Amino acid sequence: MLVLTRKLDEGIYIGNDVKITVIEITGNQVKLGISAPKDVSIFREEVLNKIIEDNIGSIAAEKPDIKNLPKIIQNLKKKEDK
Amino acid sequence: MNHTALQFHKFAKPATEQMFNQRIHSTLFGELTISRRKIIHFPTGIPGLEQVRSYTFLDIEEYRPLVWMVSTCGKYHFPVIPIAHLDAESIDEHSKDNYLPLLTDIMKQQPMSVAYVILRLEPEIKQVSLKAPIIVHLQEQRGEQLILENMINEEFLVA
Repeated sequence: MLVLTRKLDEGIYIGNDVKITVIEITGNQVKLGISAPKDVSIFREEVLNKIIEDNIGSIAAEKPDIKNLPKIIQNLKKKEDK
Repeated sequence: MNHTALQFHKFAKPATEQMFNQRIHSTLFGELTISRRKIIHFPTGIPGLEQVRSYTFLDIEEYRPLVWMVSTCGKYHFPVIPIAHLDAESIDEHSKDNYLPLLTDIMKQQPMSVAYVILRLEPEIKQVSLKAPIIVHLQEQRGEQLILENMINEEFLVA
């Protein structure tokens, strides 16, 4: 891992068009400003990890018995039938 | 028949089923024949399955309103619900207050699009979250998973 030291208002470039600037330092928190093209995805690590975990956990390993579908589906089904 | 037409006639092959349909060997639903117009391409996959780039959505009557998002390799099956079929009771309070207005705004700007939420069947789930909806652009046959949690409480800087 490349480690760089930056002060307040200093920045770094990743490639030609992604710039990260140190906006604020308060206690043990650092606020970063990120300028990047729209098609570059930027995620907080813990948010992305949670989505990955949710996605992988949602892959159906077997065809569920429709009788055992969660309550939410049963309720939605009933509403649809009405 | 002019020369160009003759050449075309010579090399043109009759339309085959393969040109219009794709066969998927689904590990859950067996052999499926899907119209290529119903294959949705995810340019960057979805988080956790970045290498899987194309899916189709199976609407099987017995599971409605649940829809199956199936990878064209047939290995991955996600139960999803169209946002339009969700009701207030099924959305968790936090998502209802924070993400529903955001998603509504996004969908207003996306004509011919459908939004789904992925449902986790195990363990039993009573509510769904709107934090990472799947957006399908029907006309472009393109899909993406939005991560709305990252769009909240942000200060956007003007470059």
